Amino acid sequence: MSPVRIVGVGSPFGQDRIGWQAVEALSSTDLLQRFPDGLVSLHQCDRPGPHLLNVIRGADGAIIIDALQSGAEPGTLRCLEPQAFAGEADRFSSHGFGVSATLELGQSLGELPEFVRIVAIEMDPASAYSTALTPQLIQNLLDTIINKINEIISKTNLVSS
Amino acid sequence: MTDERQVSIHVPMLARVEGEGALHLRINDGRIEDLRLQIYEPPRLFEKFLQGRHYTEVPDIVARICGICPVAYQMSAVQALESIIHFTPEGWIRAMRRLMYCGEWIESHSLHIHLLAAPDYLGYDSAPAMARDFPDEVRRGLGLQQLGNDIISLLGGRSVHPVGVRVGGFHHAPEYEAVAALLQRLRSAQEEAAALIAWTAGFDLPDDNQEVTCVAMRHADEYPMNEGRLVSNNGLDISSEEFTDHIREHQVAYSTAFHALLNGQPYLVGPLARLNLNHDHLPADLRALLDATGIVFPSRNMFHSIVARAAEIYLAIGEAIALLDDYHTPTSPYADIQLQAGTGYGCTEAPRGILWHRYQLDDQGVITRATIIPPTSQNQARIEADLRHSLQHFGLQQDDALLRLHAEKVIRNYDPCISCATHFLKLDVTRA
Repeated sequence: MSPVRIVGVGSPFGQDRIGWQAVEALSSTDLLQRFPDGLVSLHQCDRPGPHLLNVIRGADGAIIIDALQSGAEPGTLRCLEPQAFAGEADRFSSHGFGVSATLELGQSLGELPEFVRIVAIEMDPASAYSTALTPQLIQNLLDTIINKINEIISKTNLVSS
Repeated sequence: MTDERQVSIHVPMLARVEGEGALHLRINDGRIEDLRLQIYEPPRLFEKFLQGRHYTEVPDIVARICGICPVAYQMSAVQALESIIHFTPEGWIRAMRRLMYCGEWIESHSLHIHLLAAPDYLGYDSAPAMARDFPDEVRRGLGLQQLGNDIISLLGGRSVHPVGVRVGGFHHAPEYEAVAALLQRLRSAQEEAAALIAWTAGFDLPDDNQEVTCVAMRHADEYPMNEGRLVSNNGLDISSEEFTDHIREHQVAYSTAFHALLNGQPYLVGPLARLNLNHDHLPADLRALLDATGIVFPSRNMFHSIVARAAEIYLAIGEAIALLDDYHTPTSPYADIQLQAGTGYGCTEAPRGILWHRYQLDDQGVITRATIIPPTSQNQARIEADLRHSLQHFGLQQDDALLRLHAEKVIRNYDPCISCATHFLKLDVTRA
């Protein structure tokens, strides 16, 4: 398993699949080639709940890409740390035991990688049930997502040698 | 002295339940004047999605109804469809269907005990907060959940919305090597499951006995999962075909989920109902573990549900070991059957209780009508009855925060799967 894992989280339902689609789009770019061989890998998870801990266990870093509904402008990209959701576990999740609760659980158990970042893509509540616009949205954001991933990983000591 | 406060408690969104719901409670002059468990998650419409689809598509479609209990939907569906031609699976297919169900019980019950319910009894507001003080117990829970998931994946290809089930059996048979590795993990987990029973029985569970009608399946020779008649502690003994002669769904204006009543009355389905009605089918070692807890089953204390779940994890692990112990790869993982026009009925024991399906097929094998009655719909009226009893017993003079916490505890104890039933919690209490 690679030291840095990029995990697209979502479900087949409407814009909740943004995380999957982002990882799918990233797999068609040269993202992985920008880093030492085997350093970074891409993963897709279907409503993983606590299983997310298994996916990122043992890694040095995890970058989780997920849809977010916070009231911001649709398409807004935000890079969050798990602490951003402290005490808010599950309030924003429709997955029962969701990403924020799982990360908080991982923190309590001391099982989180050294760094975890959540790349959150604001979904459009007006068309939450539609996937018609998400491929274009991802394409428009792809360079920004890649730059953000580069920035996150380059700040670690994993690529300095 | 009469409490003349007018109290209104509104829990706008229930936490640690699957799906979206709310509770509205109005207390007037020390009495509950109005109590409504409102499920506002949008209707799922799966029964309509199924219309016009060929029967071979049904197992994959119904698996999408729930991320926690997809196996139950697949098992009730294939049983109902196969009943049209009176096909009853035997041998390897029957054993593997029971095994897959064991996986789902282990996975679902472990999730509920450790991550959703246990914080209620240990005084935490969330599993992550509890995990700081009980890391080993939470790790045990996650490990058991993963074990359950891996059993499902063995036969279903993946644990969430598995794809391995088909009418007549399975698409593929697992390889012996994968089975051997799983068998070893199952044997290692038995001790953890035994410890889990003692852990849950040691919780400070409220002492609150209630008059309740339990409904579960009953099989002549084994603890029920895939097969059996529907029985109750009040004389019900029917086949799946007779289900709607006794159990009727009706709409309530405040909920997107139907309420189901047995002969006009609320009833309980799920692990406690199952254990109460099938205690004699427990293996001797499990019975001894339960006896050691001091809790006597059958139990009328709804809070013993968590111990029943732990017991069923132990049972499912033992069953899985027995089913895999002499595993062999079959000549074919499915029976090559073709369905014909007709109506089929199926009922199996989902982790949360009985799950009933009915399908009508035309002569092209296309679904013309589908009806699915999930356990949470069946438990809704019982949860409301329990809340009325439990909150009165708890004391309506308690302050709003305590009332709200107790109400949430009562509801979570049923492990409601609102996503399945919408076809869950905000508390809104008004004291008048």
